[in-house]
Amino acid sequence: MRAHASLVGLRVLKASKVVVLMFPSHLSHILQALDSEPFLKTKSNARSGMRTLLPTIPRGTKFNLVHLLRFIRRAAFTGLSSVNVVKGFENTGTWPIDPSVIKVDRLVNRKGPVNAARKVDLEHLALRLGPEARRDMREPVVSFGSISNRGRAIEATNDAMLKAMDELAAVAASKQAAKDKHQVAKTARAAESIFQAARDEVAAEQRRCSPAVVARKESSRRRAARARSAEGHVASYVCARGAVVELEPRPKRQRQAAGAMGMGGPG
Amino acid sequence: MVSWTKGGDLLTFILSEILLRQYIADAGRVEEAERMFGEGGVPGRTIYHHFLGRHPQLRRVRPAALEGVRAEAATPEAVAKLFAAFRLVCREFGVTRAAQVWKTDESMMNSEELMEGAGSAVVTDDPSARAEYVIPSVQKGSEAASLVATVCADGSRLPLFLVASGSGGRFPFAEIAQEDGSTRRKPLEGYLDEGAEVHRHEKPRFDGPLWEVFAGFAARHLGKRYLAEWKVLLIDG
Repeated sequence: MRAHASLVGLRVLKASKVVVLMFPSHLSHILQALDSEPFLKTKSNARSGMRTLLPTIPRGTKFNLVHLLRFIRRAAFTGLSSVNVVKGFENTGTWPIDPSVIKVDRLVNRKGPVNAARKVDLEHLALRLGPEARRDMREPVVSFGSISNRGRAIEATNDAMLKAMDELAAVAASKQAAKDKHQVAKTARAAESIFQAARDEVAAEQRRCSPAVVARKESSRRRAARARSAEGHVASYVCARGAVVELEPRPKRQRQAAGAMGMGGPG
Repeated sequence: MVSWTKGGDLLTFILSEILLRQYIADAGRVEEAERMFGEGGVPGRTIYHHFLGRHPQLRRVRPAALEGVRAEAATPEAVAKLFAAFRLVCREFGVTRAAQVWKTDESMMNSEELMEGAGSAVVTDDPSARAEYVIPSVQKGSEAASLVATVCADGSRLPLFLVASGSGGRFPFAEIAQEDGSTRRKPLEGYLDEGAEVHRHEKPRFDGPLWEVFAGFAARHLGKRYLAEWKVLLIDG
């Protein structure tokens, strides 16, 4: 129910006098009328159609959507023929409704010796489970945020089901709204912090450019220039005779650590 | 082997080999069996084929893989309840004719998979020969399409509803790449049935919004048939 059917779609179908009956989950390999004959034939026809289509595609031309649609149409024309469709319904017992068509072996085997020894008459079992089936198909059971159809068929266009779906949609919408609100707040906080950083940067720049700071800088620069001119020419380094220069031992840098920090020099 | 399968049990070839070996050992005819069938004392494939030929009631059946979750879900109760529910719906909504029963499902058509499976066997006198055939490369957006079929128990069906990969919703044209690199638009209606629809979707399969579109499509077409009567549409869970 979570994957496909939507509330709007079901309401549209109901308005057109269509009742939607949903199969129990994981049973399509037994009950799917289209899988048994029509799709099997369609796929097989698609492969043989492709065999005849391939030589007609000129060399260097790409296989495009028109080619794909052309062979799907051809395959569906023969695969979804009246004969195959009717046979598909008959093979799965979905029309005429006939549970005895289903091979019970497929349902009881591989489920332990107790089940394997069971003698099941699906016709009688369907009669016996009628009241339970009636209750199940109209009583929504919510599991993991959607209506569960595990082990039970569901009349999806039933009012109770639509109401339950409506409530689920409302819950999902409120959750989404809360999520959106949280996201908006998070985005606003991030934007505010960026804006604050920009404001700090501008303030620092303004401080650097303020007339008082500029005047102070100029004044200290002038004072330094005056001191240099009063001293005259001074060599940058004067080596005193007999002096011994002792250098502090420098720790050897780890090559790997330097590389990891993006400080690795040549060699 | 014949008596084993009488009760409806399935017999694999491996089990039949074990049973036969056990029988030979019980009968104390191991040496004779080894002399007849070679090392191991078990007959080869040809003898099995001949044996099956002599017992036409035995058939070779290829097993199909089944997911564990499906095997667990397929119980007699679940199937019986579906039929009970279906009967109840039919009774309550006056569904009495095949024309009122519809079924819908989708099937994926993958271009490359189909092209790769399209090769047919060839005959050659060179045992080392390798037979290859060239398949064209697939244009973007034509890799796969999901075919949604809606069929009726009376044998009729609705026009096709296709979901191709791409974006842009309903898609009335296909863009065909030309040899000179340019593209040309072709209307798709000419390549499908009348009333068929092609929709583009990121992944060519169903989801909630697309199901809404499909429901509108199905309601439009089903609404035209037998206006006064209810129809039942069976869909997978």
